[in-house]
This record gives sequence, C-alpha cells and structure tokens, in this order.
Amino acid sequence: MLRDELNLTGSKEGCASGDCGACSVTVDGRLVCSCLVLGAECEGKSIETIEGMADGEKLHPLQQTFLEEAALQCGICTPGVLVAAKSLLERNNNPTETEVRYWLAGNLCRCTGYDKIIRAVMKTAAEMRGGA
Amino acid sequence: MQSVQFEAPKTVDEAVALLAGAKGNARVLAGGTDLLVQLRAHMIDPSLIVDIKKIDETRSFKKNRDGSYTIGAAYAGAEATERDDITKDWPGVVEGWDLIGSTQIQGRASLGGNLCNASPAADSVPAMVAAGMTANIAGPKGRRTIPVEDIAVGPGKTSLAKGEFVVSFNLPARPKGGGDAYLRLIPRTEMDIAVVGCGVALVLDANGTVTSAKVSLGAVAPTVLVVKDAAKAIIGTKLDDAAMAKLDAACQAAAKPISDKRGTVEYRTKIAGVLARRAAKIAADRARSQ
Amino acid sequence: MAADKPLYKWVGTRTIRPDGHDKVTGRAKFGSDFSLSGMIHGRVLRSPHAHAKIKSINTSAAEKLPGVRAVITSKDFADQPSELAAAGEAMVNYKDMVRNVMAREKALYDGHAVAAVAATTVEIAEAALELIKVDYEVLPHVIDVDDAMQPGSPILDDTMVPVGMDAKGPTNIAKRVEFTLGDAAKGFAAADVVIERSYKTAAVHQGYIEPHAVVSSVSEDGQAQIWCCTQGQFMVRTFTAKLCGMPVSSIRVTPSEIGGGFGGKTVVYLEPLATMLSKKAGKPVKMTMSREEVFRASGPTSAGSMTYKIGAKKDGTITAVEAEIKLLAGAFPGSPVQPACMCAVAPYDIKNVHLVGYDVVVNRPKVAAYRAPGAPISAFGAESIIDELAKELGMDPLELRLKNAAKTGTKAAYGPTFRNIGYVETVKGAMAHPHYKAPLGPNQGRGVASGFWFNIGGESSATVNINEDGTAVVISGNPDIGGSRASLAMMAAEELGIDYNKVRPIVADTASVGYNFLTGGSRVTFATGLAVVEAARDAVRQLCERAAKIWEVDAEGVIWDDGHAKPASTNVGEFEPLSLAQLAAQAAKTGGPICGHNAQNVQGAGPGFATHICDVEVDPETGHVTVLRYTAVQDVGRAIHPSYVEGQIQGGAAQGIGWALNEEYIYNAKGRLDNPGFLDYRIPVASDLPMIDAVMVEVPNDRHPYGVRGVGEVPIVPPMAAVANAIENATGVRMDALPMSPPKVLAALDAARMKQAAE
Repeated sequence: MLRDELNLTGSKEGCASGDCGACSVTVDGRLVCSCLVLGAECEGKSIETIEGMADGEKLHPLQQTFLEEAALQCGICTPGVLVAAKSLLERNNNPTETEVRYWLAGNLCRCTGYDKIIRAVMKTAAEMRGGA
Repeated sequence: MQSVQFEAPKTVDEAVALLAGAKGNARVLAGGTDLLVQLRAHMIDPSLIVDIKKIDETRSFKKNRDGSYTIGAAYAGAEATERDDITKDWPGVVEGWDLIGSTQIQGRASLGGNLCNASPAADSVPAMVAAGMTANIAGPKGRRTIPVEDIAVGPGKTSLAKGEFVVSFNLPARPKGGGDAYLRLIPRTEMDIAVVGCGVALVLDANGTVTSAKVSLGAVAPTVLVVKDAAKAIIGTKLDDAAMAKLDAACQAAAKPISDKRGTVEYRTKIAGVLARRAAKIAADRARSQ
Repeated sequence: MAADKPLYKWVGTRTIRPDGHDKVTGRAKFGSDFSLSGMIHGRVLRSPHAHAKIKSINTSAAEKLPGVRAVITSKDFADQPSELAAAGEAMVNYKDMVRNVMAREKALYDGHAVAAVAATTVEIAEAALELIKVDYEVLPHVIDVDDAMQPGSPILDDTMVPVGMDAKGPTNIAKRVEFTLGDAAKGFAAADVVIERSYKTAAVHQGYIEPHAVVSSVSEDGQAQIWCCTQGQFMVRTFTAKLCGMPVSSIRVTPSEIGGGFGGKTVVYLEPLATMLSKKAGKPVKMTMSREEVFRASGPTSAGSMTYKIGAKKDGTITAVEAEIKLLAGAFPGSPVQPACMCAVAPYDIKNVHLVGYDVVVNRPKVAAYRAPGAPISAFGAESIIDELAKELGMDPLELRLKNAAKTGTKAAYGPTFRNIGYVETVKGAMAHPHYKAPLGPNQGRGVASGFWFNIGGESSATVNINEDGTAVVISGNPDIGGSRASLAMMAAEELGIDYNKVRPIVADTASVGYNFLTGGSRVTFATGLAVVEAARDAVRQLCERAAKIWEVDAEGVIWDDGHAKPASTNVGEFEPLSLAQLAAQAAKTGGPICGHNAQNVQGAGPGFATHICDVEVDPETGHVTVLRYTAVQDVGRAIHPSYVEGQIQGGAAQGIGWALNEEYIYNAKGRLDNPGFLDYRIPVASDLPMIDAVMVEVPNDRHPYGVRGVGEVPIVPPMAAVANAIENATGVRMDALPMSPPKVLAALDAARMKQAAE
C-alpha cells in the first residue's frame, strides 16, 4: 500500500512476514511493521514513515549521526532502523546498550554487525539530552 | 486468490453477525501479526476479514475493584508493558505476552490472537494458563466463559464454533504471596518461536512453603499443557533441591514433543525440566519480594 | 616531511559518504523501488520437488487467463554449449546457467524455476502459475555432500565427467583439485605429535535484506534496458545477452542501489526471465523475489565436510598438514573448493602440505559466492585443529600461530611466494590487546582463530571529468556495496588536490563507462580505485598541459601541487599558480573538455590476514551460547575510509558468528527447504551480539599508490573456529560441526558428561 499505491518507497520490503523490520513505520505513534498492517485498518490514523523524518532540509539528529558515525552500509535496513530508533528515543531518552539492542532486535541488518548502529543511537540520545 | 471482504464493526453483536453469516472462510483480525503473515504467504484464503479493534471491549484494559483484570482480546503486549499495575501483579503474564516477536510485533500482537492462532508454541499462553485466566467468548448463542487452556485443541485448531470469537480475558487478582514467571528457550535472544516455553504461577505462605501452584508447558505437545504432577511436586515444599528435581522430572514426563527445525524430542524434553525449575525459582523470588 | 603533517588530506579521514543522505531519508532507489509506466509483473513457478524429471509442461490454461501477457519455459531459451565464464570468484558454465535460470530436462532442487508468467498484476500472474500443469516424475534425491559421494547415491547428471580424476560410471563428483608443497609423509615422520580430525559445516545464505529485483524493458527494435540490484551490471549484460541470444550492444544495464550482496548477487536469476518475458509481451516487466524464493532459489554457500591431519614438533613447529575438503556445489558444478584449499593453511609457513578438494553436486540450489567463498569452511577445520594442537602441546594458541606465521618470502601451498604481508602483525596485535588477558567468569571461555583471503584485482575502468566550476565527477562501474563511492572519491580528491565534497562519484550503467569486472573479491577500492587514481592522474596531466599552454612553456615544466598547476622550477619562469577551478573555467579555450580516463586489468592484489578473539558463555543446562566479547585484528593495507573498513570487519565478524551459532539450511525428508524465511533461518539480531572491536593494522600493499588491500572478505574467515575454540575453552567440549546451536551444544555436553561418568 505505502510502496505501491502511495509510491512511498522509503519503507523497504525485506520479508513480508514481520521478521526483518525494513518496513517499520509508526501508526498513531506505535512502531509496527507496515507489511503486517492492512491499509483498511489505518483509516483515520496517523502514519509516520522515513520520508517524514527530516524537517525539510534539516535531518533528524538520528539521521545526521548515522551519516557521521557510518552507521549504514548498503542502506536497505536504514529507514526501518531510523524509524524504530526514533520511536525508542521518544519513549526513553537515555537507553542502555542492552535496551537499544533489544528494541532494535526486529530490525535485521546484515552489513554492519550492529556495532555502529547501536553507537549512533546512543550518541544521538546523549546529544539530544544535552541539547534539551 | 479471491477478493477479500474487509469489515471493522463497532459492536460485538455486529461482529458475531458478520462471522456467523460469512459464506466462505471468515477470519478475525486483531493485531494481525499471524493473520497477515498467513495471508501474504497464501497459507489462508479467507473471504471475510473482521477487524475487531473498533470494538471498545476488545481494546479496553481494566483493573477491577477486587484486584482482578478484564483485558480486551486485541490489547497489545507493548501496551501492557507500559502499565504499572499488571507488570507488578502478573509479571509472568506480561513477559509471555510481550516476548512475542520484535518491538514492532509487540506493538500489535494481542492475547486473543496469540491464543486463537492455536500454535502450541504461543508465548503468551503458558503464563495465561498458569495464572488461571479465562476467556470471554461471544457467539450466535450468546456469551460464555471458559479457561484459556480449553480454547486450542490442536495446532491451528480451536474449540470456537462458527460465529464465535474471544472478546476479552479475565485475569484473577494476584493472591497474597503469589508470584509468576514465564521463560522460553530460543536459539537467538529475540525474534524466534519458542523451542520450549514454561509458565509457573505459585503462592507461598509466610514460611515460604508453596501452598498452590500451576505449571504450564508450551511447544512440547499439540497444545499448551497443564502439568498437574509438576504442581504437585512443589506444593507443600520450600522449593528445595529434591522438590526441584521432582518438578523437573514431572515436566520431562509430561512433555510429548516432536523433532522439527526448531528442536529435537530429546532437547525439548530436557529443556522443559530446566525451564520449569528456573521459572519456579523466579516466581518464588517474586512472591517473596511482593 | 614533518612528523605532525598527515600524509594525506583526505585518505584516512572519516568523510560523509556521498550516497548517505539519500539512504537516511528513504530517497535512495533500490532494486524493487523502480517502476516504469505500462509495466507488467512477472512471477516464477518453482519446483516443489528436490529432484524430478520434467515430462511435460502445459501452459495453455495460463496463457488464456485474462491479463496474462506472456508465459515462458525453458523452450524459450536456446540450449548453451559447455563454456566457462567468470562470475565473482568462481567460474560458471553457460550450459548450467541456462538450466539454472529455467529447468530443462529435470528440476534439480526445491525452488528450481520451471516456468514464468508476466501479467498485468502480481495477483493475476500468481493465479496463472497455478494453471500451469507440470508433469513431474519424482526421482530419489540427495542433500548431503558425504551421501552424494557414496556409491549408489542418486545421480544428478548421468553425463557428468569429473575434472581432475578418473571415475568409473556416473558420479556426483564434478571436480578434484590438489595442492602439494614439500612431502607431507616426511613431515609427519618428523613430527612429535600428530592429530587427525573431521569437521562439518552447514550451508548458509548470504542473507542480504534486499530480495533480488529487476525491471526489464525490451523495445520493438530489440534494444533492452535493464534496471536491477546486482554486484555487476556488466555481468548481467553478458549473461543476459548470452542466455537471451542478444548482442551485448543491445542491452544496457543500470544498477540500482544494492541492499546487500555479499557475493550472492554475482550471478543472474531473474534478469534473463524478465528480459524474455518483456520481449514476448512487448511491455516492461518487473520481477521481485519473495524472501522464500531468495532462500529456496538463490545461491547459498556450500556446506563442507573435511578431514585434517596435522603434525608438529614439541616446540610447536608444524611439520605437515594434510586435508581432504569436500564442498557441495548445489545442483550444478562450481563450489568454491579451490579457494577453500588455497586459503586453508595460508596464514602459516608450513613446509609440507597436501590438500585435496572435491566439488560435489547435490539437490540444492546452485551455490553462489559468499564473502571469501570457501575460506571460512576450510578455516573452520584448520583453525580448530590448530587449537587442538596448541592444547596438546600445552602452548598458548597465539604463540603457536606466531611461531608458524607466514611472512614476507613464505611460499604458500597454493603457489605464490608472499610479498609484504601483515599476518604476524595481526597475531601480535591480538596478543597485545587487553581483551586477550581479561579475566573470565564461570562457564566462560576464550577462543582465537586466524584467517586469510587472497583478494583480487581484475578489469577496471574509470573516468574523471573536470567540470567547468572546478568540481569533478568520478565515473566508475562497480555497484557500491560497502562505501566504495566514498573511498573512490577520497582518492580522486587526494590526486586532484580539491575538496572531497567537490568530487561526485557515480556508478554508471553499462553504456556510460568502460567494462568493469563485478564487485567482488574485495577488489573495488583496490582495483577500481587504482583505475580512478590513474584516471585522476590523467586529468592532472591534462591540467598541467593546459597551464603550460597558458604560460607558453613546455608541459614538462609544470607540476601539480595541492590542487594547483605550478612551474616546476624558477627556470621555467615566474607564474602565479593556476587552480583546478581556474584551469577548468578556461578549458574550452585551451583545448576542450578535460576528461581523465584509465582502463586496465589490475594485478597485484595484496592478500589479507586477520586474527580474532572471541569470549563466550555457555549455559551448561541448555547449551545456549552467548558471545560476550569480540575483537577482530586485521591487516587492512591502508584504510582509505577507516569507518567503512571497520564496518566491513564488524559486519564480516557478525556474519561469521551467525554461521557459527545458528544459521543453516534445514531440509526435510522430501528434500524441501524447511526454513525459507528470516524466522527460522536465524541471522544474528542486534541483541545477539556484543560490540565488535575492529583493530586495524596497516601494512600497505606496495603495489597500490595508497597501499590498499581488499578488506571485505577476510573478516568472515576466522569467526566460526574462534567461537568453537571459545566453547571448548569454556566447557572442555570440542564442537566439530556447525551450527553450534543450543540442541547440538547440549547434546555434546551431555555426551561428554556421560563419558566422564562412565570413566
């Protein structure tokens, strides 16, 4: 639906079974795999995708830190990881490494070994706390 | 593939009427984390999908005055985890519920869906069974309430009649001295289906003696099991090594697993005993710290 | 040069990658993100049988379904003669390739394509597949490599004649390879200790998150345009042209961003089918594999079965190694058994080595390259038995490795004499790392292992165009799978002496740049990098000529320094330096566009070595293994972009840990793949892993202007043995088969306990 009818191809399809997280979006603020949501269920609901994460030309701090910390390689999992990480930081602005790892356990990444992703999320959290 | 009719009724009666009147195969949609996977993989080909999430009763969560809970069938695990009351009273129930899949799945997966998908490995069910939960069912003949363990009758099969669906659940008040726990064994740390799951709920008296207990095993039989001998093994004990050994043996004896891509008969049998011991210990620790 | 002045301005810094913004905003277009107007959709009918004769295929009902535009079977593809072509690090045979993309006489594995349909919607295409009637005669199948070599095994191809050996009657052995150095028998005779062990590894998939996807559009005049996710647009062009009977010049392939490949996208699956469907339908055809299709029908890497024998003196000197390494190739010949043998004991200076390898066909999908193809398999055996040897000798496992380490001048069993290499530095780096001496708790253990990958060069071409505003475009032809655009732009910026952000690197389609061998073998930053450096130098030469023209001096009198043309000496004359931007602005007047170019077949790849340290904790009651700490030390030559080099090391190590612990292809009794999804094909998730400390040691490759060695592959070589050695250290139990999943570890622990109780 998002990809084929609205042409929002930022959310990726890696499995169509909720196992890879590449299609992560939020529906009314709740993180979900869009492959496991029917369009009809979302009537009247607010959906946030990767396309809406940056504020115009200004990247979200997570996006900026991911670039600076090289927290992406091929980039296919990146939109889903960013949407999921943003959802985490909105709930918990000071997560531990373990909390970040478990929150992102449903976002498969085959390139990075997760190391730089986890560091980038924790660094962003620290910066956002510092700036608040 | 036929075209699918999608309905999102606002009342229980409308939902029952739709389900009862369906010509082909009708499916209830709660969190959708099993249904949509099956739909996309062409494992099912329903003519009607009834989304029950617009019905208030399926989405409600209430702690009653007597300390018991009434929980909507489509209430999600992640929502429960964010509550202070149930996570304190029944941590084991919440653990099983909120262990299902990833964060993304936990935001959608419901107790009703996890139960009615009728997988023997369903994570939420052993803890629900151990806690003594019951399900409120609506159908063409009215309402009925049955124990959670009576819903699934085999892999993918339930005792629900045509037109029936689970609207909500009743969770008893936590007894004084009560504690519960759910543990599962998975190869990774997240995202897997339980190779074995075990729920334990027990009550300790002031001396630390177990006065009542219920032990439930998942993924070791066609349905989630209630292991009465396991409860017997620890009732009247202080969970000393001998009682734990008996508990372990009772669970191993009750386990009748199969070998498949997730585990072998030998492995599942042994792990049933290991998890029961570990879950009983956690439940007792929780009972003591209440 | 002053000590505090860095050697380079850009090389070795952590720049923002040029493709980064598009990837963090969702704008980047991957394989399945591409669409054309009027496009229709293709789907593939796949064999449910592991091994079956195809007696007939009836497509008439499918063709009549409204909305269906084209149906194809193997009849639409001309048969190909036996002819080898390079794909990734392996060779493929066109006779097999045409049979792999569409089954002809037989379906040879569960998931083997037997027909394809293009229709106006995906749903209609899928409905049409159900109307295709295939009459199969189901045959006995064989899945395991050892079973396939047994007499009486079901035979996949009666006509196959093994290479490198004599065979009586039909066989599943496609090839035997042999490497000999010195005299193994003499070496064993001189040994004080001899150990012999057998090991097995499971088939694992590359596990890229992006499924294969293609759009192909063939116009009425026979010109085809293909957009797809691939590691090699030129490979897609060559293979599609061959299989579809088209001239190479009629096909233009544009690579999309690629969502992971790891070797798995070095061959064609959908591209010839989409092209043939488009040709028949007269419409652009889009095809995307489902995740299930990716697992069932695209190439995993081989499973292996091997026996090692090692001999050593009491002081730790290894006197001989002998090994027999059997790798399954899938349904068609071509396992990476040769590189497996080449890499097996390459980190060591061993005088007597005898290695024999077998390439064996079984009823599974044809294997494809996977990160250092073959090497992780043979290294699991070699690095496990070396650990056993260390224990037997009572030596520290890193000391033992150091004592036998290959150095500059060591003759490797597979032929070459090593030039400057950095293996010793990786072992010393591991020994000096605090991790190696950190305390361990109960049920915890530490393991180490080393690894080798030779790396490759290959055909490369690049263009560096100087723009009128003083910026530059670097045009190369290798899909960027790990940050190569950044490293190419950095080297070009260094050569041109301009700001990195003024250099825009692009990956061109097959009609817009000279031929490039595909992205694989850790070759791009090294080999295409060399072509980019030479192309930039060509541009600099032209810039100097333009300055010479302006100054009316000989071109030899002009040098290039820090982005400016300058007189080589005062003898040439007194001139104000001319910047690249100034020269670019005057290009039209001084001779026209300034375009640097280079094309060559690059030689001189520097081999890569790594040594890893792994800590695990083993749950003695469940067999569950947790990786607690991981350190990977690697000789990277010189890190052009250190972050992406670290990323390669961390990613490779993580894939190796997955291979070690939980990943495997599980077949049921009927030979059907039982776990074709990310639920039960268990790649590591974020919560499974610790941070992975990537330690780079830099021993520059003397045959590259910036000292580059390929870095992408060697990190996947050591992990499986490192994990197994750590489990042994924690429990005293040696795991000799992968994956070391909880049921297998518990069974091994229980067996050891029973044996101990019996004693």
